[in-house]
Amino acid sequence: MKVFLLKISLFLGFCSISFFAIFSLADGTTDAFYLKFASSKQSSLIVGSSRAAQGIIPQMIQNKELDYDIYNYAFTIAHTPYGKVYYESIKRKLDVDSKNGLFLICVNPWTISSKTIHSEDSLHFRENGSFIDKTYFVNLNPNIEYLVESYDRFNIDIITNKKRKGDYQTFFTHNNGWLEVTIESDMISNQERTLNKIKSYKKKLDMYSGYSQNRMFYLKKTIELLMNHGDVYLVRLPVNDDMLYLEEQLLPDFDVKMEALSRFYQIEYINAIPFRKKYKYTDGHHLELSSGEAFSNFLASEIKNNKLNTLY
Amino acid sequence: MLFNSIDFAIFLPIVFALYWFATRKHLKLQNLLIVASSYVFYGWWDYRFLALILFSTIVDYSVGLMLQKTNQQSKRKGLLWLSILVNIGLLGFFKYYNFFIDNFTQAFSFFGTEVQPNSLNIILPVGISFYTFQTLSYTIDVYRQRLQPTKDFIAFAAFVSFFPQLVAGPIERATNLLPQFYKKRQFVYSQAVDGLRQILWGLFKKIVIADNCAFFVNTIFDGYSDYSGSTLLLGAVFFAFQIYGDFSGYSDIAIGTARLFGFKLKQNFAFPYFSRDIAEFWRRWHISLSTWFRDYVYIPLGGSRGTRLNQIRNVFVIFLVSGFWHGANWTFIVWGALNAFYFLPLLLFGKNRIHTNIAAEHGVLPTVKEGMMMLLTFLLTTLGWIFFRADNITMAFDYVHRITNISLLSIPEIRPTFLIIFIGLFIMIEWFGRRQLYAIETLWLGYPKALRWGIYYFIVMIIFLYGGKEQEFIYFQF
Repeated sequence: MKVFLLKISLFLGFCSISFFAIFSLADGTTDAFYLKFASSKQSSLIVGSSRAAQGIIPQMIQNKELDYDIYNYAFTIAHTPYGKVYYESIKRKLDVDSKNGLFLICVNPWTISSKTIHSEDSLHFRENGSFIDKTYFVNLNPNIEYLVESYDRFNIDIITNKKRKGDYQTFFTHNNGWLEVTIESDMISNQERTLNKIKSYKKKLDMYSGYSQNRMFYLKKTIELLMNHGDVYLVRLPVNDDMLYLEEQLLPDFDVKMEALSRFYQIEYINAIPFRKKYKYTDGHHLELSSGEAFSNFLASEIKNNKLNTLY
Repeated sequence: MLFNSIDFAIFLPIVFALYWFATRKHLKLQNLLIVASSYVFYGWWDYRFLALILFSTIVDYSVGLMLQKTNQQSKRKGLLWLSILVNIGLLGFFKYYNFFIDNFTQAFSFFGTEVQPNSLNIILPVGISFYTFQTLSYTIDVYRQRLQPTKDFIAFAAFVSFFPQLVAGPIERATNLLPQFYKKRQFVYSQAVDGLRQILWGLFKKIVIADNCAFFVNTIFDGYSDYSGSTLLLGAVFFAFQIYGDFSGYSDIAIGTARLFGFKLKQNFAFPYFSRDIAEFWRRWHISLSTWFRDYVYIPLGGSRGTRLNQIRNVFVIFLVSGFWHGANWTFIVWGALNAFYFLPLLLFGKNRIHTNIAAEHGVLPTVKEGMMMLLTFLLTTLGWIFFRADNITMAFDYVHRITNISLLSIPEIRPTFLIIFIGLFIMIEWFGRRQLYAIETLWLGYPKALRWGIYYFIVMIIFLYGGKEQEFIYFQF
């Protein structure tokens, strides 16, 4: 028995070290989300869906002499519409000792609507059971929990994706959480992508049951949570006309709702929709790289101006 | 609890340590530990169904004791039927109730009578088909006086619920497994190592072969109307490897785990895809179920004796019942019937037992004739698997129809190179290990220790790096 236990321990120990070594190689090339769970707890956060994940560059905000080490903790509309699941995840990612943080809560009609048959059926919200829900430890490096439970590719991809970076690999998550997506930017590909995206969102519109009070409740809870740790801004990123048309169909009074929230909590609502023509999109609603930079700059300026106004 | 889960990876060493260190000196305590851990293992899915196992255990234990006390044939028969009715009744209710209700409703509608069925929202308890058959074999064997009934309730409960094989077999006979609970188990180093080796091979089959095949099988079967004939054929072939890797992998892990605890379970798969005809295939595929049906259904019906008509009837009964055992869907029944059609000519021409040895028993490679026979048998089996996998009969026929057109000659739209390489490697290892109980039982034992350990490490790393995403074992649903 002793020999058996010794040998099996040695063998399994060696295997475990190998697994750990491979997991240690995981980084921003592993997938679009991994790194967000492998960074430390944060005192300033950008939260929202993929529009924010790709379109708000933390570095640009810091460049505006804003003294915030802000982290992009936004994912996708499938995983992080506002709700209990995302709220709990934000709570876990937040450094509870922080006091003077900056929090950008990115909103759009999809983030407070529901895809379930009944809009309040929170038991069947699409994010339930997703990696956002399952990943309890959001600041482990390497994050074995995420890699074991939620990584939906082969583990060999942890190694091979590193080599593919900038080649076949279209995404890269930076250390500040920003998801950089590189895709063909010629006009034909762009038009094709936009057409397809609008088509898919038209279908999506039929599947959505509309405004969810439950989601709004958790958006409010998120605001209240983050207000305890610093300045909170509601942000609506720009989209193209076709997407805006769909969003107006989904929630015609979305801006009214956000303005009401802004008044109630006395926080700023930065709505970039009126300036949407200034920006370029990869598919109608995700900002192109240069537009992401421009929008982040705009956002930083708005925040800076707001801070100055508050001061004087 | 899934064998390929983190939960099981934690559960197994704990039970192993308690078994060999804390309870080793007390047989009763050791058996009790097996019962407790088996109930934990099963309860991990749904603890409510533990009551069913316990109920089945109490009924068959009591029936066994009562059978011993009476010599009156009518009473003995009554007791046997009680056990059969309880076990098959549970199985019938949980597995087949809605199937029968739906089919009766359709039949009545066909004749113009509308009935409002009382369909129930029934959850199928995992592994119910396996443990009910296992416990039934006990009562039947006691009734036939081939086995002394046990007075040891704990040993009997351990036999019924033994966690390595509780939910997906092998379906053990009481004559083989129950006596092992009466004797003190000794830890034997070589057996434990052998068990680990079999677990490793089972995990490779399940995680690398079956789970990766599952991804492509699901893609192809779910969108089958969009794919060429060649892709559909590839999808069916992948399913053949998925179901083999999945089920025989489970059996390997089960047998290997039992070895760690000093038990010897029966071989459940004997390299069935190297069979040269369908009769041989059925002697090598899911052996514990085939032999169960053979001993408790086929032979009592007369087997291959009697008139031709009786022989044909018996073959159909056995295959149809076997198909129906797999699930409450017409697809399984057609699958069973198809296999009966494959088997019948062999039986009628007296050729069902010509391949009782191993293919290329004394050689390295099969002869061309053997190779062709194996290929033909594999293709026939694969055709059957399409019915097994399809959602319904219409889909199965449509799938087969779509394979048989000119696009069969085109290059498949889906051709995962890595998986095809792994399947090739897998077939090669299985071929070289076909004389053993499982492929790698003795395959590399002659190699220097460092090289052998290196190979095992390589298999572990392949599982880790190329493992498909965790999927339930297919046979859990049966």
